Amino acid sequence: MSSVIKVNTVQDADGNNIINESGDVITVGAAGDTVTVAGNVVKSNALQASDAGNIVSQSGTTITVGASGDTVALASGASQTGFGSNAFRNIIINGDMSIAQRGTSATSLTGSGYNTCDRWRSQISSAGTWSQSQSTDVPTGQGFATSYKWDCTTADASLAAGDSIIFQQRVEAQFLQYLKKGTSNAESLTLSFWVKSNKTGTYIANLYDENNRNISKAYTISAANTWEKKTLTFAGDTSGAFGNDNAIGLYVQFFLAAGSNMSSGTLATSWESYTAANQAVGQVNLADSTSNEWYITGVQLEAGTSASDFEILPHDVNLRRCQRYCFSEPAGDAYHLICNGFYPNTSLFIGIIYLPTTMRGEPSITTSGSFQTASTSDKTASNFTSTDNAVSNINAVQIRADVSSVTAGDGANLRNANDATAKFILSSEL
Amino acid sequence: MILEIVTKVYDQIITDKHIGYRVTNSQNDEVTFVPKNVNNSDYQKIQEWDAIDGNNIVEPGE
Repeated sequence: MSSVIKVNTVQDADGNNIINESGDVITVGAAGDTVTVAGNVVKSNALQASDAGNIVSQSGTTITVGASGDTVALASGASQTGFGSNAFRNIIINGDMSIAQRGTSATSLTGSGYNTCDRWRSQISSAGTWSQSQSTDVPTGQGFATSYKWDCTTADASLAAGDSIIFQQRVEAQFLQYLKKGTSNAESLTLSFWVKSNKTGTYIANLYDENNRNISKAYTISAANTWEKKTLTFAGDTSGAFGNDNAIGLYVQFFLAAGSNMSSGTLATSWESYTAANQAVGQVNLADSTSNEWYITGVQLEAGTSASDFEILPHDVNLRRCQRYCFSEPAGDAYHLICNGFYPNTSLFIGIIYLPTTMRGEPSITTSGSFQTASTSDKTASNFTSTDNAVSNINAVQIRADVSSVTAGDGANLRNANDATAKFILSSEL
Repeated sequence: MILEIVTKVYDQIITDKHIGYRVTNSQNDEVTFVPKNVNNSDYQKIQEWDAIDGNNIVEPGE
């Protein structure tokens, strides 16, 4: 048998409203009251503010936070996790090795330079000969499709004092201001990455700044030929502020070999003025056998003392970030168009390349293969130059090329000359 | 960029204006034009290379 009590108001013993109904509005409690729900579950399709604006609402499987015109903010000190939180927290660009504009492999490497995956620079100082590639060997189930592979092709089992191998990324100083380096509020930094090698033992990761200060941390590759995730936290540095400019602020470095000049001291596990011998103490020699390989991917450097999940960026976003430092015309098209222009005289072509994103500064131009200008007839183009762009963050580059026997005043375009493998690379790396 | 053969480059219109360097890689057919710009890291590398005894930047045609 059901029972019904019909009232408009329920009050406590003091006469204060517990529940009140007026028209279609039901009010629970009164001003100053705390309403507690036993079991802590309230079922509703909407939670509204006193002005009837939605705070949270649900329609089907869509949950909406806030309403048009609202600002949704986190309280100071609060943090958010999950997709979209703290976007662009990774200081490293192309940490998943997914962009390789210069090519996916390089061989016979003995020196320094940018070889395959964008933004990653190799510094080989008399320590073997190497091949490098963008590899598809990746840790299972982590969402990575590519890694950076080092493969020793000529060994150096006995390093001289000054020999070394460093794999590094150079970071623009103006991107690092929020780290508050050089102040009492300097942020700690956490470096996380996946690594794999047949060569087990101690390896060194190092941060080196523009003020000649550095800090190192050792990590161990424990199991041969097995992907392992490593996390290293570096204390904030209260000395040596980063300049607010487009020059190098920080070198993020992975040692792969280090002669005694870089390994005979005491490892610099706290920030200190650079002493070469303290940089890579304990580092194994990855160059000691042609059987040696080293893979790395998922490199993330972020503020704070813990590592968050690797920040996956959309491919186009990652590519644009890389193109601030390197823009390569794509290969594979025998007559690929590079730019339009004209002939100011009978032996010169001038054209404009509009860049896909602002480049850090005036780029170098590296070319290989065959190029031509196409107008009323095709003419071989060579000896490329650019005109001075003394400013930073440039959006276009004026390209010049030598040609011969052209008609002054004619328009023309610059393109590959039946050469699908021709390279045309603008580089403004650090 | 391997620095072996480094040649001065002059403007194609103002022919006495030094605008950069051309670096020829003998191990492949890559040629790099490096602008005379202190913010360009290749330019910085050439300056360091040129400061070492025995390294020479050549004039065009030399």
